[in-house]
Amino acid sequence: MTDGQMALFEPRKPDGRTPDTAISVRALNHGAKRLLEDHVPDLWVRGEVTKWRVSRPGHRYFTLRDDAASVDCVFFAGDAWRLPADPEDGMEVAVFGRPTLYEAQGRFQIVVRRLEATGDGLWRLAFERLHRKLAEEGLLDPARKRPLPSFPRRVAVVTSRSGAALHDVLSVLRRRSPWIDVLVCHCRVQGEGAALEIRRALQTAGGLSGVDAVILTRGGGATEDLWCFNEEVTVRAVAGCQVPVVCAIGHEVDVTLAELVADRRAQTPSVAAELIGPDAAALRDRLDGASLVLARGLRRSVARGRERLERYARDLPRSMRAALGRARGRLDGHGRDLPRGVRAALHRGRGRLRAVAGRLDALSPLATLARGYGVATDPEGRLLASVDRFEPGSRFHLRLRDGSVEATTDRTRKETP
Amino acid sequence: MSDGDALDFEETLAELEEIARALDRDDLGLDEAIALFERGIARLREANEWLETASGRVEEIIATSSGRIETRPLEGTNGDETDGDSG
Repeated sequence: MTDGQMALFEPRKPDGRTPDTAISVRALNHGAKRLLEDHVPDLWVRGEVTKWRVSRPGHRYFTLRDDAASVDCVFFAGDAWRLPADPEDGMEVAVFGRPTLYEAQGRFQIVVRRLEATGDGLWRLAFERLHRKLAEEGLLDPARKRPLPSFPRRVAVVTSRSGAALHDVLSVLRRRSPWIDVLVCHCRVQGEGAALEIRRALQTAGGLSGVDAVILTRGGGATEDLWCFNEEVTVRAVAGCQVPVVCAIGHEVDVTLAELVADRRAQTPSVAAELIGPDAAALRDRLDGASLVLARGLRRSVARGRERLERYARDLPRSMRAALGRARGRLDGHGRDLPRGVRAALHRGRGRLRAVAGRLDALSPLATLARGYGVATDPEGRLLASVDRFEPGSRFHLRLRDGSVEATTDRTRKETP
Repeated sequence: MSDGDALDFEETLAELEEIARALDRDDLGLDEAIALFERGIARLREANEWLETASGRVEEIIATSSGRIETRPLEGTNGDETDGDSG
């Protein structure tokens, strides 16, 4: 055979120009898909959702339409899990994705990567649906809320170990209540699967021995990032926690269902820690207050005792003299030694009084001045224990460890204890 | 916070309040008053000392795959820096 004969019988390359060079359906669809994807970028498309369908693996299929046209959409589970709720039929949405061709069927469609309803539509929808359900079950009832422990020893913190929220909580607790044991139960606080991790951490935290309360927290973030705190799994775990839960999610304006179900909501992680940890400085103030009360009580007892002793000391010589007079009369000159005996007895009595008074001084609140306290009195020596007793311009003494100060009141400020 | 230095702070405060009330009684004898005062001062000293020294631990809870709970010091915090009895 010649070269020319060879060329005559060789199949020609399909180019679609003649029946002999017709291309395959597969090649057509593949080419169309390439063409589309090479020339049309990923973009946002607005329309109304219809025929929403969820497949078993979690893929969503739907049609987006307006008054003139419609396009099929597929939203694969790997992206669709972010949806807070499935949209309702007829809902206006915008989808972001790739216009492409489903090669097997030659069907034009959008592979959706994100879907957003107008405004916060879907988030609000999901929030409202679950909120309604929780309310019906009574989980939002204020009567369900448990009081926080007034003096916790052990506190569990459920949050991300790498978040700023944990840092805030720890620094507030260290400052206010350094005695508290803090047990950190790490969990992811955003993203797919976070709700399940939060539930597991809450269950662990609530079951730890001796734990008085749990702080569930994370810092601020986008609605989407905070969403796991609106998921039913998280919310029910908060409601089911064995010990009281303080919840602080995001910023003050963000309100999540986890916070609404918690025993107490705090605006920020730091505030949550403040609600849990008593302030050591305030406790010291209470102790100082108690020491003043004790001092005042003892001072009053001492004053009462002194009064009795003085009365006794005043009355005794008189009654002794009277008795003596009577005795003299009776003894009629025979009892010359008696007055000496009475004087000695009196002397002994005075000695004992002095000893008691010395002991009182040693224990008196004035001894506690050595600790740095001051005692204010008026010029008559009466204790000034309240700002009500200070008139502007009035003079008073301030007794300190090593002396006293003459002072004048400039102005007073009353504080509610 | 170790168990050894456990002090019931609230109980101490309640006891102090009770002592203060007792000291306020008019029929209180001097010896009794002094004894109450001494007891109160001792309680105050204990409570103040506890406040100065009590220090809690900061630990991370790890749930193992077998379901056991383990603790370890939290990395990146100074939680056990002032902890006299960690371990």
